[in-house]
Amino acid sequence: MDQVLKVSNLTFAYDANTEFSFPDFSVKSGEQLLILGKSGIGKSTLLHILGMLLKDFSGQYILKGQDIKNLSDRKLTHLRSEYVGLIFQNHHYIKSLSVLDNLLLVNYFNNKPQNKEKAIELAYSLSIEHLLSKKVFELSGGERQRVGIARALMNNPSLVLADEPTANLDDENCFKVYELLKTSCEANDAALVIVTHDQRLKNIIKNHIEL
Amino acid sequence: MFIKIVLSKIWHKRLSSFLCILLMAIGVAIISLISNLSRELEKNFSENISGIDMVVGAKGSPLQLILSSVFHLDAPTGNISLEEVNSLVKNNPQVKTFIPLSYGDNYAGYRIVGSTEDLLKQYKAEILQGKEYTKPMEVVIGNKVAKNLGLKLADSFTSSHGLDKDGEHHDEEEYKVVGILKPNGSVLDKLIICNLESIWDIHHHEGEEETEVHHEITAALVNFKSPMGMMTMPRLINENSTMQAALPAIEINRLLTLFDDGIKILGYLAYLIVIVAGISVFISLYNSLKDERGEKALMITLGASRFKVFSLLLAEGIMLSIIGYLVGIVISRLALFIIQRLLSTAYLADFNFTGLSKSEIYLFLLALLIGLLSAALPSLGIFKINLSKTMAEN
Repeated sequence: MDQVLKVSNLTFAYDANTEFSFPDFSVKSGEQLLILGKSGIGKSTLLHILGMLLKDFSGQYILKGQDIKNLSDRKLTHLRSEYVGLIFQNHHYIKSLSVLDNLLLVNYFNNKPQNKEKAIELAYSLSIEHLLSKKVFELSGGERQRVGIARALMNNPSLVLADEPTANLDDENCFKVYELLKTSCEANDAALVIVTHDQRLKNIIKNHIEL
Repeated sequence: MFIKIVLSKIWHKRLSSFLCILLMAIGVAIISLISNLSRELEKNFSENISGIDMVVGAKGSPLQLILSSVFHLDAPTGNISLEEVNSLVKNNPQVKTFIPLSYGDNYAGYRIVGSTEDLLKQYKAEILQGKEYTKPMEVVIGNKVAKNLGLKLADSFTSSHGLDKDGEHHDEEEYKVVGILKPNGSVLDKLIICNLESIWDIHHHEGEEETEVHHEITAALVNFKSPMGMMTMPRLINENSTMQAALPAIEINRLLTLFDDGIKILGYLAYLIVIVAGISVFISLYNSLKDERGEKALMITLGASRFKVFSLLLAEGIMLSIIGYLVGIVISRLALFIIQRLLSTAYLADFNFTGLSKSEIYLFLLALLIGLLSAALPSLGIFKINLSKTMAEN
């Protein structure tokens, strides 16, 4: 199995008083990794470093064999859109557009042809095909989350990063969402990294680290 | 996709978009309306006075004399003796052309003017159907008169006294249409023209046997051989006769200056509204950037360059301006159309409804510039968005 990412000696400082250091880990394609930690321990910071939203970290981060350090914003954006699918905790969408257009935006912003078949295929696999023409603001929270998962998979990523995907969900839905993430990622042979404080997932994902 | 994102955003915030468009539209409509109306007015005024150096008529307001004899808008100042005007003006060596006018009657609100054939020459009128009048009681009618009253060749009618259609009727004598003029944009379009004898005959009441015929006319249009005439003649007439002389160029200028201040103030007001439209675009986009930082950050996270997100916002502002401009032009055209319908018998020529005037093209550039500026300023914030921070926010 290919190694998707590998981090070592990773630290990040917002200022002199707030510094986070993270354990070393690596993930291979098709693998799942759970990163557990309480609030304020730097979970989102780690996720943003992995998603290349935050640079200026110290240590090493290798994504698909490429050292991320000191790359330009443009290059980082390119790598992100090429290899990474992000699922955000605070469902961010373009509210004025339909679900289908929100999915196609991924292609559009990466200057790729709009892959409508892929969007429809993903919608079917996540059972949101009936929502494609609806505007995002008309959807329920659960429906939005599925749209978020579909969007993260639109660019056939090697790595899917999910920020607290199961927070605020009851047990039944927590496992459902995990199953969705797992099957979707396995179908795309993508590595899945979940960052959460949700201890319930510990029992399902064997491969986990605590911050 | 670009256009789709912009339009769906405008639609999503339709209330504030509507406000931006409305303000822009009102400003543009007023400016375009003012410029069209004043241009048409000035054009028609100057076209109709071209080639008329001086007007002679009864004493009174010089502006009234010009309005009544050149534009056929006002009531005449009175009558003058043909004898006096002939001796003092017509036979003066400085005078090149002399066109006597006799008017005061109307048919269905359209004025009947008695004159020599020089009147038709003066306005370069051409006959569309029929011929010129030769005998008393034969008339040539302007194109608008024919159209609006449905008059055809060989039709006949009786006139009413005065300048509105409810005046006392002259039932004894009937006018007969012998010619219809081609439309040429001059006052003749709205006049009924006959020879002087027709007017004299109608007003020569039975029982008033006159031994000596003493004819009167209402006014005379005069052209001079050289500008010298304009310098000396008016003074000569005004000081040494019972008549008055007025210069159309001066009177019209005076009239237009009266309008000018009002038009200018209205114009400033309209520009102010356009600027307020710009401010409202600014506020709308500023709010949008503030409320939807998440969306903008998301676009960048998904791979869009900051410049692309910036141009999306810019396009939104420009789009609002352009829609506002187009709506404004439509409103202005609609208003012109209504004004024209309401004033169809008054003195306003046909407007050009299709195509944009030069000032409207400048106005378009102005609207574009305002849209661009008021969108660019708040949108620059795009370049300062902190991705990680914004995406972590709720």
